[in-house]
Amino acid sequence: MGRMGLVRKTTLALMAMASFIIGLAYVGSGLASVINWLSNWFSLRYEVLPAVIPPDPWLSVVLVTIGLVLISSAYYLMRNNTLMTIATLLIGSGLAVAVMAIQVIATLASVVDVAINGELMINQLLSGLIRVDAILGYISTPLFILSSVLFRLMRKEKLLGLTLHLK
Amino acid sequence: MKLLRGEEAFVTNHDLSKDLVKIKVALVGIPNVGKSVIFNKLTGGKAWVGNWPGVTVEKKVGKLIIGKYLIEVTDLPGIYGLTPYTVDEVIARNFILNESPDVVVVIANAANLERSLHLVLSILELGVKVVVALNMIDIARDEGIEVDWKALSRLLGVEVVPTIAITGYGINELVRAIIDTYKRKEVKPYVVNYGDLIEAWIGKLVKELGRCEGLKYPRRWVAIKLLEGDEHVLSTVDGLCPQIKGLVIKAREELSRELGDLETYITEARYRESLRIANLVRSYVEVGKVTITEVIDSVLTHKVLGIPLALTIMYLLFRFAFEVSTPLVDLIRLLFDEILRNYVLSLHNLPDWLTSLLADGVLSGVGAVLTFLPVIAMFFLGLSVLEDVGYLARFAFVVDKIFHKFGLPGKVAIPLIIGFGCNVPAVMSTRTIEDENDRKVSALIAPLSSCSARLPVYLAIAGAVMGNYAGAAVASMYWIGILLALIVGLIMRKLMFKGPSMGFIMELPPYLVPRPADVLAKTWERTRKFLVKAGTVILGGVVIVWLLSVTGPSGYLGPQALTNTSLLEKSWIGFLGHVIAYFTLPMGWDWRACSALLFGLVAKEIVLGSLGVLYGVSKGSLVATLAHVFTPLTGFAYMVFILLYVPCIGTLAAIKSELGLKYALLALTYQVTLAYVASLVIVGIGKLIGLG
Amino acid sequence: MSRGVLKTTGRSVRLSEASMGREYVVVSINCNGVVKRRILDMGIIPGAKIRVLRTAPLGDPLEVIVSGFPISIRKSEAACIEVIER
Repeated sequence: MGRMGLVRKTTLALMAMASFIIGLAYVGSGLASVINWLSNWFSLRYEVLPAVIPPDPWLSVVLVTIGLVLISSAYYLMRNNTLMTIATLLIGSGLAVAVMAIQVIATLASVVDVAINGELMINQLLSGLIRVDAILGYISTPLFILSSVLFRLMRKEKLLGLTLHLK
Repeated sequence: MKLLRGEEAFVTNHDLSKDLVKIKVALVGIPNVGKSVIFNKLTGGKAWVGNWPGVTVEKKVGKLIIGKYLIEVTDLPGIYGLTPYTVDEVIARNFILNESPDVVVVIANAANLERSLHLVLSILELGVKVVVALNMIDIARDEGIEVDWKALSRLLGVEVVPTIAITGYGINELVRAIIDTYKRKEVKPYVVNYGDLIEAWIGKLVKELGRCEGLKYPRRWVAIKLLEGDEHVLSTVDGLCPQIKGLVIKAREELSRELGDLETYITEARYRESLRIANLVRSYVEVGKVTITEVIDSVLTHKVLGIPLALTIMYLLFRFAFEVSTPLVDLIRLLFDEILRNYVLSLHNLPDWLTSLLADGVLSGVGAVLTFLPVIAMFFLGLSVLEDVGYLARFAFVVDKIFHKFGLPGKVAIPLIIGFGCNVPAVMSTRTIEDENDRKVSALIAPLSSCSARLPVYLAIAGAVMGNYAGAAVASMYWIGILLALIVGLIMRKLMFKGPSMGFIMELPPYLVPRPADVLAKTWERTRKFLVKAGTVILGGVVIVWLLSVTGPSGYLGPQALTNTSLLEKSWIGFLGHVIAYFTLPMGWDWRACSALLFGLVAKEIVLGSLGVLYGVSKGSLVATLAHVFTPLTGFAYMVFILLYVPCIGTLAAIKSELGLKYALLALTYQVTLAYVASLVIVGIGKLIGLG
Repeated sequence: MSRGVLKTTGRSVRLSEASMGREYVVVSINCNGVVKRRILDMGIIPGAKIRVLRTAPLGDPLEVIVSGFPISIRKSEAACIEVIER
């Protein structure tokens, strides 16, 4: 495999482990969001970090999904499946960044919207930017950038395997 | 030679057309080969768009001027072959047979060579001059495939031009090849040898056909099609020279005895030939690296993660469409509700009724619709990105099983998703569904998808009476719509549009980085349809509704009716509202809520505004008022009614243009019935379990 | 051109029951009409090499590779296609 290959594989392993931890955070926040939603629904009083975690069932599905994808990266690492390790890493962190971007842009849009009608709500801006999907997204961004670079390098050196499309 | 294309070609061709030599070109290819990109590169993107006569498939024609030549390019639909089984194939072959293009450009995919060549061989049998554009050689190279296009050119006897359409590589050479081929005197079609037995019979048939008066088609092609059992060709030949029928029957009998099903045999033989040629000209210079597509698909179509990931991507699409557009929505609302309205109201020399018509009718009506423009544009932008990236095909792949259970192809998911933005382009997008019956059913169930226009009504009512459960109530509208769409689709497919399906066999194209120009063009196409609907049908509808509000069974009431609800009650709107209220007695809606439904006939967007007018309150205090008008049960039933009851006029117009008046009326009646029954059931069950 | 169906050496299966990731050779197409024509047009003809990639998350349809380009095909249609392991 060569020394470069070894270096790349080690880097990949480290990233997969980081991804595992971040994935756990996503799954956790997803579950917390469900709890908050159920809390609202049944008018209970227990809520987990309501300032940061909204009671949004669709968002919970999204958070848990991203979390599972990131966690699976470590899973595939243990199964020694390099291709799936980096695939899940890429897609997981990529979607994490996308979800964060949407939250940031939507927050900005609503602030602009309110501004058009005369007010300027800085609180709204800040609370939107520290929402859980945004924060976890900030953390995932370097992971995404690194995994894209690594992916390109590994692919060039065929460390990921050969195409199935040729017969 | 200066190359003029697109816009310039249209402008200048008026003065120069007398001196230019016109070359008629048809563009054909299997799906996913980049045909539209090549069309755009050749014609500069400007095309005359219409419909093929008698069908709902889109026809695109563009022009290009180079030197002394005017090249007119017609884009034919993407097809795999020339059977008579699908509208697309029939259109393509009829165009080539009847319109006699000078050159047919067949676009091949270097990474999907056999299938492309199968089409090339089928086209060559039509006896036309062909140029092959070998596209996507960059993708092929990435997979380690090199195609010797010169050898291919020698083998087929036609010009083969390697291209990478998205960068423009090879386009100039393609144009030159078109002109050179045009100038060629004779056409020597590449002949697929079908074996001695068949070739013998082809010879006999060709001889007989020589005596057929008025047969303009190439005889060898006709003979092959007759042996295949092609219905269209059979009836054409029968009409011209019925004496040949006996010979055909004899040929088919004898050959089937030896070779089995003839159509199969011939298709297989043709495919084997394309395989043979492909293997001769293709070499694997290196074993390919794993493709990006394989990497992404391993996750996006993953056994466990596939569906949650689809939901995640939908989440991104919807948030993008609905939330990022809010500032623009507000700006447009300001424009119509305040700036323009105040302007109209300030014009003193207009008669009262005209001011009312403009301010209360046109501006508030059309304005309400146009405030949705940003939402719809962003929705289509996101959707076009997903489509061009290649994800929508995977989405259909993942959800197909659900649709299969309801007797529909997975592709139906796409019109339903488009319908969440606006039903009008959703109905039009059903064109891409190949099977005729599937297509009709999809167009009829598309309006059950809860479009963005219905959302404000849901939010208002849910907000008024549903308390904590408001969010869930609104969300349930979307799910109920989809569920009913599937159920109705199943019933229609099994009972009314019976027939075997063509199945669901679909190529999964490679993931590509979408080109901004193409994405924007697609977005504009779909948004334009929404705008046209607003500008024409809704404008007319709004005027009519205004008329119905200021006149009544007792005569003209005057524009004061719109500010005086007791006066409004005496208008036609009030009258009809009472009629509807009578029929919906069990639902307990008062006549004003029922009158609002009439407004929804024109456009769902204006229902909320009309509720305001009918209850005599401003939009701000509407929610509070509604809390007294509806109970949670009757409110929910009303929401369901709004979801289902009729397609708006724009959608009806779309259904009429796609399927015909009969089906538009069918849509109208079945939806009203469904809405009535559904809300009745809801109220009934609710009362039964004591919700009251 | 031999068209006879390769009589089962016990190893011929329907494509709908094929194993993931394996490579097969098409033996025969057993349905009729438009579906058969579509299958042929895709290059799934007797003698063609076909590899089964995966099934969709819900179990249907299948994704297969034939002629180098992946295709999605339902199990009900794949049931028409008789293949034998390579």
